[in-house]
Amino acid sequence: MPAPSDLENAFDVVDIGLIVVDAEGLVQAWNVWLAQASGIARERAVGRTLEDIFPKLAASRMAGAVGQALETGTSSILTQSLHGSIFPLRTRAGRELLHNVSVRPLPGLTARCLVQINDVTVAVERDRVLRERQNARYDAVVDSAPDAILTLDTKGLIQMANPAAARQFGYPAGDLVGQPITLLFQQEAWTEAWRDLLAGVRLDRPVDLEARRRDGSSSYVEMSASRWSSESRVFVTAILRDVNERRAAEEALLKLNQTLERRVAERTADRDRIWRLSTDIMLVARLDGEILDTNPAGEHLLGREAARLYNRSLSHFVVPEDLDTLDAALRELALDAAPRLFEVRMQHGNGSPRTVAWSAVAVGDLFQAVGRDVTGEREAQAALRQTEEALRQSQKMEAIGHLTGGIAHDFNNLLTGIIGAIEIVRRRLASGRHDDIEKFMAAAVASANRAAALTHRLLAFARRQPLDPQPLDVNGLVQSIEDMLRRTLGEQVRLKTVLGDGVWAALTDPNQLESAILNLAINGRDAMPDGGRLTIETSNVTVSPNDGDADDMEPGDYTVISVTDTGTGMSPETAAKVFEPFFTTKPIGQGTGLGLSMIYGFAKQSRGQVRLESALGEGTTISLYLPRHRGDPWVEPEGGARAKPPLGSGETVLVVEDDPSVRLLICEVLRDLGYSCLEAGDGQSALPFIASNIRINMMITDVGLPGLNGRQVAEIAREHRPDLQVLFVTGYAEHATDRGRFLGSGMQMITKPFTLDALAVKIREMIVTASLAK
Amino acid sequence: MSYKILIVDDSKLARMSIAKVLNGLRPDWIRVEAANAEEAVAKVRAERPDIAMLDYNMPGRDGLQLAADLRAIEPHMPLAVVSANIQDEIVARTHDLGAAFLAKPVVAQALSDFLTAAQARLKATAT
Amino acid sequence: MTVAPAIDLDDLELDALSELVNIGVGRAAASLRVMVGEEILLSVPSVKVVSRVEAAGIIGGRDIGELVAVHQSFDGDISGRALLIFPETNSLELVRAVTGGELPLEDIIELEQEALAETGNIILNGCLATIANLLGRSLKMSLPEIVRGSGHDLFTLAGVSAAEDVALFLYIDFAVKQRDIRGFIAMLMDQPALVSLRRLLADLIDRTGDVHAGAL
Repeated sequence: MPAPSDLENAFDVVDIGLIVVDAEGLVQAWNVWLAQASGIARERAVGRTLEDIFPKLAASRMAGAVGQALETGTSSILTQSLHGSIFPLRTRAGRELLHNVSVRPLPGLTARCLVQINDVTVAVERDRVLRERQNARYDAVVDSAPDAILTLDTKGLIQMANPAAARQFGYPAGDLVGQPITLLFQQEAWTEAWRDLLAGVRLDRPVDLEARRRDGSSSYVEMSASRWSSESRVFVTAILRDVNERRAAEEALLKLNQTLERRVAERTADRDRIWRLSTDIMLVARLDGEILDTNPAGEHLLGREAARLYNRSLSHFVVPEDLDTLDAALRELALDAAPRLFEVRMQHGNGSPRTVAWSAVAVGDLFQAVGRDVTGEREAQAALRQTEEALRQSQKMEAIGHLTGGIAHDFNNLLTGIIGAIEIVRRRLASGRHDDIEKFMAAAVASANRAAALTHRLLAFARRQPLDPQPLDVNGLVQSIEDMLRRTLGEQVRLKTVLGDGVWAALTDPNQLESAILNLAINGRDAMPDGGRLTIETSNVTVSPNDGDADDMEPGDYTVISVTDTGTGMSPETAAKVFEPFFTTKPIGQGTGLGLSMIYGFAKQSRGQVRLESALGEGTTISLYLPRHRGDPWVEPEGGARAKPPLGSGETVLVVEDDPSVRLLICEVLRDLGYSCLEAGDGQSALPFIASNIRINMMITDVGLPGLNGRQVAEIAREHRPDLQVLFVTGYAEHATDRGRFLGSGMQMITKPFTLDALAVKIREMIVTASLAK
Repeated sequence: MSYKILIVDDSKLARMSIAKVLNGLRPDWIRVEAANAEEAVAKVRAERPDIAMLDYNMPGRDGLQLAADLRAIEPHMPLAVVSANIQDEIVARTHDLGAAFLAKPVVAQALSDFLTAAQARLKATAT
Repeated sequence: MTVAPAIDLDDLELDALSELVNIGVGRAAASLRVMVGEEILLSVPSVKVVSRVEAAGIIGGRDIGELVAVHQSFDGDISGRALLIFPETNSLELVRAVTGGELPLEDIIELEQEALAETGNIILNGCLATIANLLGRSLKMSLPEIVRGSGHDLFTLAGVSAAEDVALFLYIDFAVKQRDIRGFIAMLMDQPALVSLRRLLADLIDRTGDVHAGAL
């Protein structure tokens, strides 16, 4: 073989791929570069067609290009941009070798063509990196920009639209590209701006434009744009900011201003009218009271025209007695902006003072006030109060009249009973007869006790009698007064008692309860003039928090005593008033009207309640709810067989009492009980005893004494005899309610009237206590 | 059998070229020529050719539009649209009209195929 | 066929030439259609023989701003230049069309050079090769080159000798349906080339006209 020529060497040294193809399309030459890049050795390539060597080549333009070169001598290029990889080639480093191909006819006798393959990997790579970097920067800004960004060519076609633009104008992402900008903007403002932009004029200020969205709606945008060029190709990039909100706000504001002006004018007219026509006084003044303006009503009140009032002080028109009120109001106005109400009497123009109720509010360093002439109102109110007072007074008088009448009536009966019984006893004794006297004495005592109960009731009503709550067996109490009840009720009314099993002990005052039941029975009897049945029931009730009736009662256990009659019943109107004091349906002289209200008071004081049920023509039930006592009831010893009162053993008791009969009584009792007695008729005469050395175990003193009162006597006594036991006797329950305050240690109190037993017990208790203390 | 064939093309050279090839295949046939669509329609009415070959790219109404017109007049006339512009859309529209598509320049084989098919069609519809 | 009063070519010669161009561009359109993916619409070719200055004027007068062209020169029995010309604003659209339509603007600008060059290459080859083929000659053609400028710039390229003061202006309007891509093809030849061309055309006509007798 001849040595290769330089050209032949060059063929295998060049840095491009070279193929020679003959007229049949068969490879004739294949250089080293290509062998390396394709991995196909020359021997394997020569004599085959290109499609044979590279099967995928058939689909590309290559064959056509080769054919054309062979047939018509055309030269073709195939670019990597359009075709990607034409041949499957690799670089020395093993990466894909990006290449352009050119096909040229070769001159010669037979048609042949030359295929050249150029490595453009580096260039493409560099371009790609550059582009990516630019794109990344650009995309980051453009894609994420909240404003629409469009790039247009000089013909106004959109070449690029960012996602915000798609959103802004309502088109899918790719659809805007290639569209003329006039799709979005058709107005004069756009054409002018476009003209300027193309001419290279800078837009100093953003241009306001109205864009048309895909759906036809308008979108207001503010455009900043500028022209730029790339390789003699000119573009315009525009940034379109959505100003729809701003615009809407501007429009709203404009509309508001327009309506506002109108409304202000209307309101001004209204205000003037109100000012002129109002019968209320309207005033504008400084905070020091200096009048600046007033409306016609004000002029009328103050008796001068507004102009003449100017700079006069408001206080000039206020009666001297009310100046303090005015000053106080002005001071408060100066402090804060809350409206102030105050009333002052003002000098009317014609001289007579008028009471004006002002409502004033501070505004800056002035205040505005509206005033109403309330003179008439005030006078009417005063008159009404007087009338009410008079009425109450007369009602009270009437009630007191009833009361005293009733009480006197009751007392009369009781005293008659007492006197009568004692008379009989005297006669019996005088005639030496001793039988029956017990019976009559008992009767006298009973009547006296009834009288005592009556005063209890009265005092309790006046809230002067403290309750003495004790655990009480209610059933026992009802049984004990059954007899008395039957006598009170008379022949026509049948009494029935329904005493529940296991009825709880109630915590209440037994005396009060007795008189309450008695009262209820009497009322019931009076409601049945033609006779009937009265039923007294006892039961247990538990009130739970969810009871509808329990809104004025504490939840818990209650002992209930109900008194039911089959009488006339009450209408709802009557039922509503029945617990009111002085309310009575009975004629004058019968009953005081105090009974039910006293019962109500008693029940509430016991922390219980009274309930009433009544139907006209059928009857009434009144139920007393008394709190349950937790524990055993105090049971009184069986009535009749009273235990003997405890006896003393010669202890000395000093009795200080101004009422001789009471003093006599007490001393008799004491002697009977085995004590010795010293007497004093008042505090003064007690002192020598106290100051002396005489042994005194205890002092019983009335509280209400002439001169030194019982308390004072006790204090003096305690100075001399610190351990002296003192028993106060009182009928004035106000002292009793201050029990705690009044009594010191070793002091006790007993209220008149008291039973002798009670007295004896008390005395014994105290003396025993005293002796134990020694 | 001798048929009459209409050749429509605005280029005289093109008409000459087709005529040359035609002559090689069917020397006895009668040739009628027109330079544009208007002329073609007139010639069809006057001369009643059996077959027509229409250039696509002509001023005024193009070959496809002319083909549609001729179809209205002669529903069964075998037609060919001739063009170097071998684009899918054009070929498809040609076939929609029931016409054949021949590439320019027209070569003997392609023309022969068309003429044979055309004759067969004519015989079929004549009976 | 629109034929302007020819200086050097008679009616039939112009007719023949425009038909050759028609076929050539038709073939090119078929290739282009494959690349672009959408139908190419071609106008009827218009052939004028004008001076270069006039040619520049015709193009420039169409108010299309800057132009971009794919330039290929050819040599052989006739020599000259072929230009595939687009308004600058359209060329991007063409590139976008041939690259599948999905690439962003910057990429298209990057690829424009190559893509346009190859596209132009296909079209011009289609034209020139066909013409050469039908004339029975072979032409040596250069690889494509992109040039930009005004109409004036394009028709007064450096290196062009003064003798080339005649343009054979073959104008075919082609448009890509549904896109705004328009362009035209111009061929520039000097006088000697034109003379050669005439001779070739005459030969063609003779060959074709042999059997013309008998046609109506």
